[in-house]
Amino acid sequence: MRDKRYSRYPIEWLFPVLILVILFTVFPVGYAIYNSLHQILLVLPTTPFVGLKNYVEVLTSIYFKEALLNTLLFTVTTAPATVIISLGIARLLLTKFYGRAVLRPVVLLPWAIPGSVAGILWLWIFHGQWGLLNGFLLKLGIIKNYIPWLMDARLAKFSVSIAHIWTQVPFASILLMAALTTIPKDIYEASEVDGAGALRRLVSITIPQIKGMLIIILIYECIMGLTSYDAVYSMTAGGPGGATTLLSYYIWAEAFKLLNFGRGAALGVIMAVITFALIMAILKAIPTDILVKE
Amino acid sequence: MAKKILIHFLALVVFLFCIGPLLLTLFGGIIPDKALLSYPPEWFSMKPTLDYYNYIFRGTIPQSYEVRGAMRGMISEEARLIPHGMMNSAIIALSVMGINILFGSMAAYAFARIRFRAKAATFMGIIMCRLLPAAALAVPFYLIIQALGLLDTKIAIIMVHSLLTLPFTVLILSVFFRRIPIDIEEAAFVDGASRIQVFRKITLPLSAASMVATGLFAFMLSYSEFLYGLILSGTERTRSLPVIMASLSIETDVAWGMLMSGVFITLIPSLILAIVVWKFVVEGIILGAVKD
Repeated sequence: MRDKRYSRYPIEWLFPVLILVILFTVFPVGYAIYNSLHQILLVLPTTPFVGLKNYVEVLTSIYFKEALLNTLLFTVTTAPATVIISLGIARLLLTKFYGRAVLRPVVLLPWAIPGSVAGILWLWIFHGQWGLLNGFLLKLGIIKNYIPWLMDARLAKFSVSIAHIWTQVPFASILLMAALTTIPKDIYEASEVDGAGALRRLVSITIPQIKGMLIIILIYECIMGLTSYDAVYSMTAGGPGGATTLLSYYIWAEAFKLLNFGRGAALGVIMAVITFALIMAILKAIPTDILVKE
Repeated sequence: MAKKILIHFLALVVFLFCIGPLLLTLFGGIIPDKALLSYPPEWFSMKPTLDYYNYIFRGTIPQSYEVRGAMRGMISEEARLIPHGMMNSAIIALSVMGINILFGSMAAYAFARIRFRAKAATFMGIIMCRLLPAAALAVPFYLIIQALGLLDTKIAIIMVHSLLTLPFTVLILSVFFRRIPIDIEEAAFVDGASRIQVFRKITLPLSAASMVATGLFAFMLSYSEFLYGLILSGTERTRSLPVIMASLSIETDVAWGMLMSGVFITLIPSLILAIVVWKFVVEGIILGAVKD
């Protein structure tokens, strides 16, 4: 018996996954660091070693600074907004109302749609010349002239954030629903007897009870915000100017539009460091027992 | 009573928020461009048309374009690639789903049931690799695929999508496998069954539902994935649906109504997927037996 339950290293069970992980993670990370120290321009045949030149060039570039600030702003606004909206939707979906069976799968829809397609859906709403939002507002007499939603730097940031939140809400809602169903009902009943209002119940019961899940989702949404790419690509292609250029898009443009692979790799390394730093910061900021307890 | 009205109102708002953009796309695809682009908007001034759908599936050039030759540039050949892109996406996503179920369940079983050295380290290694931002690895991925001579092949995209989805599959399936009572397996071992037999005859049948569920997750991720699809594909042989749609949207000569019809077509599989995922994954597994 024992011999069957213990194996030196069950490579026969693990090799398909391990090969992929090694080929596409361990190797690329090393390769990215190697590339980032060389000048790799696809138009030139040689790739000389340039030390930290790529990093210096990237870090001192105003375009990088803009992309970085855009990404951070995008992340710190969309991640909490997604969590708050999703908590509301999760609570709603657990309430009984007419048509709930229809609404529940519908909430999943934005998630099942490829991000680049979601970008087009929202482009059709926010478009400056023939967007539906402008049309409706004009018809209703709220505005006199069309608003250039995607041509104004601030409005474009806002519009892109809405589209991103739309794609993120379903997944967070489902996870929060699952978390909410684990809260024992009698806690609420007891608090109602004590005369606690709705807000009081939210702050004192609901949020503490699902803290672990809330933090996991917040971290997940931060990663999604930091790495967001597709909706922005099809909505604004980073414009106007660089107003909606996020880090991922910037890396792609540097590497595959300008064909500077060395700098693209340096950017990738910087981005990975930022992502990990953020995750670590969030994990540090919260007491560890929350995650362990759940 | 007031509370009931409020709940129904909120439900309606959420409903419109989630499905509204989709319905607007359907609307955009049947209104002739002339009415669509009018200012001030006169969306209902012309008869709705199915011309764009006809063009995408059959290649019939919309009549309004035949009349005014100058407008013909507005038809992008790319729109004709949509059915093709759907095919590519389906082949890629189904392969990824298969690979996830097969290899993912093997690895998950090892983590759930076999004790071995460096188990925790291996597990964390597999999970952590998913936390690396996709764009950060874009350049090395491209160079590796190029070195393997696999640029512009479906195999390359399937491999990369599998990598992106497998950590999640392994994590979830190992949780499910641990839930299966170990006594059943022990009994089979006593009867002289080998580990492979136990895995095939006991573990797999008992966790069929969760395997389908995680497989669907993998399908969905692959079906939506854009960045690597864009970088690793080249010709229409490999370009997936998200890639074709994105290039349509930033192409200036494409007719707006055409784009909208294209988008609506791509939404149909997503719609079916959402319903299936809700039934099998969310109701069956995530929310579990909790009924309120």
